Amino acid sequence: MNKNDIGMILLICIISLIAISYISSNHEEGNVVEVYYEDKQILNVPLDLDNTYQVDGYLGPIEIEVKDSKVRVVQENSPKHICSNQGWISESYESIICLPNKVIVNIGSDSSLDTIVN
Amino acid sequence: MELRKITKLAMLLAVSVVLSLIESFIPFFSGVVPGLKIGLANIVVVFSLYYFSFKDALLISVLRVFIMGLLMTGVFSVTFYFSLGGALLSIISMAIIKKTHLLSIIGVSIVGSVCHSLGQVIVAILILRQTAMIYYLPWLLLFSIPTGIVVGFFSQLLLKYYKNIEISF
Amino acid sequence: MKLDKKNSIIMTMICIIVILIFVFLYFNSKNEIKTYQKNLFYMDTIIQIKLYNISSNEANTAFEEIEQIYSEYHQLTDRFNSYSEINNIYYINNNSDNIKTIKLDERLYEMITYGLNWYEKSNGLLDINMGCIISKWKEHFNDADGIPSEQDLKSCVSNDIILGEDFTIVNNHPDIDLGAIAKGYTTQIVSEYLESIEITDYLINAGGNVVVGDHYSNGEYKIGIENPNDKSIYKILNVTNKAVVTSGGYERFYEYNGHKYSHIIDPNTKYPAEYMKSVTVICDDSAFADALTTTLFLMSIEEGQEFVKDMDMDIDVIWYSNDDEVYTTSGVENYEQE
Repeated sequence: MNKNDIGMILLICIISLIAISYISSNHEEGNVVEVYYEDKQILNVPLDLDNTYQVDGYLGPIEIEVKDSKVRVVQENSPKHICSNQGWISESYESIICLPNKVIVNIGSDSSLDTIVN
Repeated sequence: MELRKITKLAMLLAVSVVLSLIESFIPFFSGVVPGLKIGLANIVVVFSLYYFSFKDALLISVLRVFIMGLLMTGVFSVTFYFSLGGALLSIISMAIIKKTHLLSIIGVSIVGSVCHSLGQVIVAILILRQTAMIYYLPWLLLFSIPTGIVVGFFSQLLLKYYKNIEISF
Repeated sequence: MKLDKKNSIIMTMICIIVILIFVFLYFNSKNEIKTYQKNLFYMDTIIQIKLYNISSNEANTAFEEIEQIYSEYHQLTDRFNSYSEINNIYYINNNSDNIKTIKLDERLYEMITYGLNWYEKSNGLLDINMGCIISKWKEHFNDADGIPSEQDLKSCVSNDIILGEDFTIVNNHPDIDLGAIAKGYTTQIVSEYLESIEITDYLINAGGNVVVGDHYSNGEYKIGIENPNDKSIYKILNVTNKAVVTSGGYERFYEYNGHKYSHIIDPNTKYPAEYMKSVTVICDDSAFADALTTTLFLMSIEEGQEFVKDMDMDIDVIWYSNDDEVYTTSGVENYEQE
């Protein structure tokens, strides 16, 4: 390793740490779970309502569980099951990416509504 | 291409596939950042880049992605393009950086690692038409440093041993 | 990119400073509105409670008490199960003891009185004495098995509810079902409890019975009213210190032979009402709002408009008609301004 290597390492560190701290300090409180298939939103449900949902991914159905204001992918059909192994997410800058299924689970903030009467 | 070189490349390709396979069964840090891995197969790619040439390294890298696609995810599946994007950007940028002679093998390997993540994220954004995963990029970049160092270190080691063996042939 | 030792040190310094700044910013930004929330399941519905701007101890105490209230009222109004040591609706409806009157829990007595008052007020439309008919419909709804026959519905006989002195009820096998008022009534009790312990910023949504207190940051709560056809939001109301209750609505219909049946049974016809797709009431009292939506659901929109006018109270109503027209009282627009 030479000095240039170390300089580059520092540079990458700085850039990514700045980005990480920026992302984690500048995010809205999430309150809805948004599920996308490509750029189409296929599910938009409250984060604070414990429930399970099923959506269709590219390779088959995907089961999504919302519990205690956290969300995870319970079951999905893919070669490596990366997204069901990822576990729970709860912050608005986190997302679960089911790449083989072209599905993304995001936590968004729907600041327009406090609750829904049905 | 002489037979000896073809044999060597085939052998290296096999090694890289085996390393990929091994790694695909061990979920390293997927709790922190989804899909994060060391990229052991890149040891072979970095090694080839130094021992042979850019073309050979590119060949091994791309063929590995194809074979892994066949074995695991299916060729031309979403994940295949994802891997291909990472692999291509990684090898191309490594070749360019290597040419400048500014960085050591470890530095080059870090660049490869960083660009691997970058390429994957770019492809993912293109395929999913969603920018959500960009939030993981800083984490991926940060983790590229240790993984790049590990890959670079082993490549250097391998290079040394291989040269010794070569003499004894 | 050429870096010597000096530059590296400077870089490291910058790096550390930047990290420190962001760590500081991160913790600073956490100083926001404190939100506590809990979901309960009682009275066949999900009850969502949000409390704001209090300490976590206060929130936990309040949540415990609220759960207690919902659970006790759930037991008191339960028509299908008995619980030891309380004389609940099941106990009243199915009492075969040789006694003239049954001593009631004060709270249940109050609630039945409230229901009976509404029976008067609604000219018999809000009838809390039709458990049998409701059960017959519910069985068919739940099993997705046609509709009850005329004869089946006629077999339901209910004796009058007669309340006595000193929290008693005459033991003559009535047929009480408090489903029409229980959620709203209990939610009102909970909101009064919260006010009593000086928790002013709260939101409760008990399956379509919404009650809000003061807003958590000097604004207004934005409440979306669901379109009964497709679950989209067709109206957004900005409210504080109000109850917003909807009857009817999406997912509350039962479809059989291409006909959509609502879950609110008209005591006159013994069939589900079909005057409208949904009705929403905005007023100060959740119990009142719950009873009123049920009543309004059981009369035509025109009659409902008259009914609300005659009450001459601070009440606003949104009707969603069968042909997808929205009718509102004049006050509703006050809640709609941004």
